Amino acid sequence: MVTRSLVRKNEYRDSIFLMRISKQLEELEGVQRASAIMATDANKGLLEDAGMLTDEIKGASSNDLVIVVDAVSSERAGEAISSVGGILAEEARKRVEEAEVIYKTLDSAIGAEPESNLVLISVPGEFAAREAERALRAGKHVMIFSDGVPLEDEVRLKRLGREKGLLVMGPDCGTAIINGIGLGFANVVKRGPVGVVAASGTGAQEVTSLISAGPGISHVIGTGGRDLHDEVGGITMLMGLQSLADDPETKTIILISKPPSPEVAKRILKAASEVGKPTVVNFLGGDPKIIEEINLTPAVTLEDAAAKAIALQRGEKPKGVTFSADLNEVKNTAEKEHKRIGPNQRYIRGIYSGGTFSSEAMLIVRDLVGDVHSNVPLKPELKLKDSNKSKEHTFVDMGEDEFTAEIGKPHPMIYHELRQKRILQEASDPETAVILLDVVLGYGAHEDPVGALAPTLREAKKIAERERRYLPVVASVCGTPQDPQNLTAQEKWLRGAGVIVMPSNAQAARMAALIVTKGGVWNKMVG
Amino acid sequence: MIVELLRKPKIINIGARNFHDSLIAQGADSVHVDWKPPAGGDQEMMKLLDKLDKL
Repeated sequence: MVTRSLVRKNEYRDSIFLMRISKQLEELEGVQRASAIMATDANKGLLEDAGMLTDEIKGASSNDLVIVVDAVSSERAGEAISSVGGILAEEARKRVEEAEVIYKTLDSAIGAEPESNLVLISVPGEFAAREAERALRAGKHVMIFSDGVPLEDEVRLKRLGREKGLLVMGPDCGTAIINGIGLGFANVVKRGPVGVVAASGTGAQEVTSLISAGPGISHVIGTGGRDLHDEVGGITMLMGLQSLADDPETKTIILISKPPSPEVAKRILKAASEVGKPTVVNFLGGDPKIIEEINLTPAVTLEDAAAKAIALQRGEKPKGVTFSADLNEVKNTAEKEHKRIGPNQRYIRGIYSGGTFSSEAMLIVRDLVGDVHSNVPLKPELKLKDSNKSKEHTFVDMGEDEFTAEIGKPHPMIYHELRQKRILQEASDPETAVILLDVVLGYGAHEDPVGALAPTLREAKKIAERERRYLPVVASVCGTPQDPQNLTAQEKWLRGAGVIVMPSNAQAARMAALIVTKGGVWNKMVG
Repeated sequence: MIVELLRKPKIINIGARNFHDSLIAQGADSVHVDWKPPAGGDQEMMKLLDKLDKL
């Protein structure tokens, strides 16, 4: 193995662009590992851990782009390194060809585009608050996609925004849809009368994708995951709720969050009850009673929230969903799978790219089957000692920093390598009864996630087969047929790889529970 | 003001280029800021520059 590196002085590129380069390099023949990253101290540390920190990179500064390659020979490594110049030049040529105006700073863009009203910020977390404050002071709404912004900055920015009547979506806001325009990670959804305020990006994606098949979506206002903490007090959710209340297009409202602090919950529910539009509330894992008491509609899952909003919009009585397909068909599908698993195959292994999907599935499986271990558990005592090692029922959220920080590997919705490894690892474990997955489509996500995952899933099934086991795989795909990746095609390819594809994350979790208990929870489920 | 945003978002994207590309693909109104860490990423220097800016 040969390690080669190259430092390009004073050349800054964003992490998603660099991930693409890393991936292209890793696909070259003879290349084992490759990384194109900015030479920050944190990244140098990661390279050192990976045994890829060359002397040349040690001397680079945080403004330098470094490329490092592990290859079978120095020729292969050299070829890979020199291909980067071509990729960067091609990128620059495209920009010139499109005659696009590119601004160097936010201030210059604001100066040249005075009519602009929203700044979408995805710079590294340590710099995000600075740019957000500039945008707010210039009278622009902001969406902060970046995470790693200190809580006190969030509080300060949101108070400043409220004072000026400006929305601060985020930090760590993955998804918004404003008048049909998807920002960040968003699906292509039908326009319609249902408005969403969500503290969870993937939660909003699931709900809007499901509603897209029905009445459609007016707007999605993202708040970031900490908005409903005591310190922030739900500033953005309250402002988002008010704006949907004032919006003539929005007739029905959905609020999505993990359970907020009781004080914040009270304030939000009170505000929601005064809006005068039918409102569905999904506080994942929270108590539905307090919501019912003030005449709002509680929903226990994301799918439940979508179904109830659709019913309310149509003037029907809202009811929950367990399975949407014919029940006999569901039962038969589960039976066909569980008949083939052996007595030692006892546990569900959930491998998630969306944190909210992982939490939702854990809540469902906990109630049906029992405790679930995780790197982000429902109870502290269920935290995995080593996130790379499963124990009994285990669900991992691979979007957590502990996974994504590995040599600057971005989120598993974009980059599937870590998930692929984990799938094969679980397939080799004789105790694995079912592998459970989420797949997320839409703008921002991988261009063909099933294309990336299907060969791994086939390989996983083969690993089990070689050891005379049968390995069921259950998944759901979050997206719409209009997404660039096309939901219908992705689901079809997934089925082609032998996967049971369910229409929602919640139904996928129930199917996994049904298989692992060999149908034992059927009555409890459909009672 | 939020009502105006909901009527027609006009976006400035700063950071990840692919978000701008997605916006353009949707026919949205977006311009891109090719952001680089200010003051070469030196936080102390950045604070100084910000102070000068405010003067």
